[in-house]
Order: sequence, then structure tokens, then C-alpha cells
Amino acid sequence: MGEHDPGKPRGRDGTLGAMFRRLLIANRGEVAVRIARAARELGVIPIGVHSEADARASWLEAFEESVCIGLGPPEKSYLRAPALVQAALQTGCSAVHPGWGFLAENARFAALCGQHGLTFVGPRPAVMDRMGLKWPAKRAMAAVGLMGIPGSDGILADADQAARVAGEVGYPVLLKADAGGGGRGMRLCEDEPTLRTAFVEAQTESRAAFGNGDLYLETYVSGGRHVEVQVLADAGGAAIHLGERECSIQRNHQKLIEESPSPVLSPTERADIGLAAATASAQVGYCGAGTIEFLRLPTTGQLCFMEMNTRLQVEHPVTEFVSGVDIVQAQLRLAANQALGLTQDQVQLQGHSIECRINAEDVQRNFQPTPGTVRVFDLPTDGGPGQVRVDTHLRAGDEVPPQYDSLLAKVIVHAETRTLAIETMQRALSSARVEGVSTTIPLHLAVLSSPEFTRGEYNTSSLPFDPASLEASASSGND
Amino acid sequence: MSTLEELFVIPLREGESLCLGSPDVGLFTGALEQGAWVDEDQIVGRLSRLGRTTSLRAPTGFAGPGRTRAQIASPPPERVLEPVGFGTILYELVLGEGQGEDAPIASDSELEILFVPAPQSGRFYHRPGPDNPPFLNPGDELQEGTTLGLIEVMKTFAHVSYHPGKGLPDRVRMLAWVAADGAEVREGDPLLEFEPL
Repeated sequence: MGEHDPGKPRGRDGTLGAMFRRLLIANRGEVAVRIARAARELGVIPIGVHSEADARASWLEAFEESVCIGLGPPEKSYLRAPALVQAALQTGCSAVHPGWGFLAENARFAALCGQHGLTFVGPRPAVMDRMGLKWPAKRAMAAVGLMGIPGSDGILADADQAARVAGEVGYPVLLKADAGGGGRGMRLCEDEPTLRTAFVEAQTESRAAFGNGDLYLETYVSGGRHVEVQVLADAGGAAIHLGERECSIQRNHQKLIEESPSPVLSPTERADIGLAAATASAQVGYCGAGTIEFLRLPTTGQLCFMEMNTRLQVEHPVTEFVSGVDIVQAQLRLAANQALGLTQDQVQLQGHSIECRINAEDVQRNFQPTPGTVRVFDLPTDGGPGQVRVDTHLRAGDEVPPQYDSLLAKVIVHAETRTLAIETMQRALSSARVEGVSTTIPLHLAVLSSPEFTRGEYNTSSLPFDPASLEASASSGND
Repeated sequence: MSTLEELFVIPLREGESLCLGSPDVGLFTGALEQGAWVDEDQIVGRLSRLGRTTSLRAPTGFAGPGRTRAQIASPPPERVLEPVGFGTILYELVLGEGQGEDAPIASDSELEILFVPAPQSGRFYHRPGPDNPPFLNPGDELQEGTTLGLIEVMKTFAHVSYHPGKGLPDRVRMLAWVAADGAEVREGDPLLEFEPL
């Protein structure tokens, strides 16, 4: 990489590409622990933050030190940009990693970091603002050849306008939060009365989760598949992709199981969409790790641009397994103005990887979140036949507080073939023991053993599982 | 230029002492000496955040019922631009003698209070959005299906509706909110008080 990008602050010692000495991790739980690990591997000292509700959490041990930034509710702690920047400054950090959720896609936070001489681990605020908000991203991507799904022409002013647009494109429609992600603030609306109710709910939810209540809508595609491409781009304008992830196993638009490669893409399609995503990232001036999400239409197989996530994704480990690239380390290197150091030809995607998100939810009681104390927490990784990785911030005796999302752990497997990967996951989850909170493990096992999943013939519209097998595994295993 | 902000009190579990904790992340300066008395509304230091300095004061009633002042028991550490977090203890206090006769505590009324319980733990909201009016106001009637508010559990919002049965009459009139807007509630906690119709 040649030139210094003037939009990005230099390393603390003023040189180009010098790694940070101390990094503030502006997040909590699993992602904070994951980032701390990558930081230490690069010789960077991880500094944490926590809310009062997390003050006694065992995962704070992952950090050199941790600063209490406020009360339990997110808007009084993890969403307080000035408090996070102040915490970074007073602990001598020179960079801030936002993780995912909270302020990860907040351009103002990124700008505030820059204003105080801190490197934000992510793209520049202007690019982030454009790509992080769904509507400007759609326009920018259309300009570089990635077409989107038909829907509203920008942000909806109110429920009346939403109803008018929905009438034009035709029901059902999907109402989406402009600043959204992970299904928060997203609602499927079959008719106008549902749309009007959903509009208020989605706005409230989105405002609480992202500090932005802007909504837009798209025509709802039933039976589509969620395919996303992981890209890495450096400040010098070089961009590569690390293949795709298939994330069509969802419940209420929340991803449950992700895999790479997608069972549905041909090698040619993979290469084409990967190249298109990497090229588009470079053309919009993207820097860092990003994900471009596509919806694969059930009719034509065409991949429509949905959105770009300008941050680390929860499901990044499946890509790490098949590509051998540590995405969090790459983020830190790219933020420190280092070059990619990897060409597309050098990226070798090998084997098959699957991730299951284990949430604290009761599958028997309509997936109601079940905060509480985790009494037993044993997720074995040695069952074979493939490799198993468990990403978690918890251990037995820890509290799962009600204020935050319900992710307990991610179990990620890697094997030579998809069949072996499924078998590895089944063995890992069957031998898992979690007590004290309910988990979604029974649902994962039911999906993994369904014929649709085994054949790779599934989509975002319905969860493939036999309710009877869910009953059986739920009653025999985890309480 | 400084603005005033109130410190809040963290009751310490050991003995009778009290603590004053920092209201935010920042650099703390201007500590008072050990042995100094702190009165209500007194400035007890300054907090600098992103280059702006705020005066900190002891809030009214910080010393508990019947007391207006307390004495600093902790030795002064290095407190020139000392980095502190939210809730970091700035002072340990001892309460003044001769003050603070046990304040009479209102005895619980014998009257039975009727309330609607929370269906699950979470954060309870009176209104659909920060800019919207509340779903209900005191005096409103509730019957099967009437929306009371929203409960947020792990970032998911659900409507809370009135359902008669289990000791709840068919029709009631709301008297007052028990759980504040945005309050953390546990399953079964009272959300609002009502009278039967």
C-alpha cells in the first residue's frame, strides 16, 4: 500500500501503519472478548468498558482494565458516545473498536473518535454514514452495478406514506430500520392495518436499539435466500472478498445458523458475486472489514443487494474457518493503515463451516428470552470428526442480565465436507450441557436433522424442522 | 465555564457509612480534605469530560432521613485530574452525631391495593415511543385486551394487555402508575393500580 489516507488518523507515534498500543473495546460480552483476544495476539493491550449491570461479569477479565460507563440500560452506558470516548482518552487508548450492535454503525461516534485523535476501527465516518444507512447504501451500490429489491424511494416520513408506498409495490412488504441490523426494527406486514401498527413498534424498537427511528420498506420476497459476502479493503483502495456466508436459517429475521460456503451457489456464481462485492467496496471508498448482504430470488436465482454492514458480523467465524484469515486481526491492521497483504488469488477457501448461535431463549415458550444464572455451562469441542470452536463470554455461575441480547455462545465447526460439518455440529450440540437458563440448542438439533437442511434446500421464510423432534430433544436435554 | 450536576449517593453496605460516587466517566479534580464536612448542595469537586468541566455537588437528602451533612472519612488520594468511571467512589462519609433521629417511617396502610402485575421481567414503557402519549392515563377504563404499555426484553418489544381472571375483574379503572415509564420490572411486579368497576 502506498499513500497515507488523510481521512484516517495516523498511528499514535505518528508513523504510517504502526499498530496501536492500547485499544478501547466499546462493547460487551462475546464480541468484546473476541476483540480482546485478537488485540492481544497482535500485542495490543485491550481496555474494556462495562455498565453497572455488567460490573461483576467474569468476561471483564479479558481486559487489562475496564471502565464503568453508566447504568444498565444501553442508552445510559454502551450507547453513550461521549462517555466511551472519554474512557478511551483517560486510559491512554489510541483506537476504539465498536464491535457489533450498539454504536458499531454510528457515523457520529466514529467522527467523535476521530475528532479526539482516536482511530475508529471501521470505515471513515462519511463512507459509514452512506453505507451504514440502508437507503443511501442502496443508491450507492446501484451506481456501481449491484441492484436492490424494489421498495420505497428513501426514508418514510410517516405511517401514511408507508401505507401509500406499500399500496404501490403490493403487499406483503418488509418494513426495515434504516440504521438497523439483526432484525431489530424489522416487521413483515401483510396488510395496511398491520403496517400501521408495525410502523410505530419498529420505530420505537429501532430508536431504542440504534438511536435512529428512520424506516423504509421493500416488497417482501418469500422463499429467498440470504447470502452475504465478506470483504476486506485497505485505505490504499485494494479490496478482496473471503467468500460468502449463507444465513437463511432465521427466526423472526434473526439469524440462527450460518454456513460457508452456501450450498446453493455455483463456483462461478461465487466468484462473480465476490468480485462484484469487492469491486463495489473499493469504488465506494470502503476501508476495513465489511459485509454485503444479498437476497437470492427463488425464481431467477438473481442476487439482489440488500445492505452493507460496515462492521464485524456475529457470524464472521465461519469465514475465518474456511479462509484461514483472522477477520478481527485484519480489522485492526487495516485500521492502523496497514496494507491488505493478501491478494484475491492467495485466498483459498477450504472445507465447510457451520455456526449455531446459542441464545438464552425458551423454545417451548415461544422463544421467550430467559435471563438468569447459568449454573452449568459445558460446550465440549473434542467430539469430532471436524474441528469445533466455541466463542463465548460466559462460564458456569455467570449471570445473563435481562438488559442485553440473549446470545450465550456461538458454536462453530469446520470439516472437509458439509456432511461432516453437520455431523460435527450435531455431536458438539448433543454433548452440550447448559443449565440455569433455557437455550435454543434443541431447535438447532431439530433443524440440523431436518431433510431440508441436510439437502441444503432451505430459505429465509420458514425454519425447517419437525416439531416432534424439537419436543424430544428439548425434554431430554437442556433445561 | 462550569455547569452544575448532582453527584449521587451510593449507600455502602458496611456499617453506617455512606459513599459518594462519580456520576460519569471523566477526570476528577478538586477533592475535599479528609475530615471536612459535606452539606447538602455543596460543591465537592469537578469532573472534566472531553475538555468540559462540570461542578459536582452533594444532592439534597444525600445523608439520609433527618440529616443534612456528613463528614469525609476517606483520606484524600491523588485527585488532580484522576481518571474515574461511573460510580467510582469519590468519598467515604461518616454521619454527623446528634443528627438524624430515626425518621418516622409511614406504616403500611391496611387498605388492600389492587394492581396489574407484569407478565414477564423487562423494561416497562408507558408509551409506544418517546414522542407519543401514554397508552393509558389515570381514570381510563381497562377491559380484556386493553393495551397497558410495552415490555422490552433483550431489545424485543411486546405489548402488555389487560386480561381479566386470576383475581383481575372484567372491567377496572386505572388509578395510578406503579412502575415508572422505562422502569425495570420483574415478573409479577405491580405495573398500575386500579379500582374495580
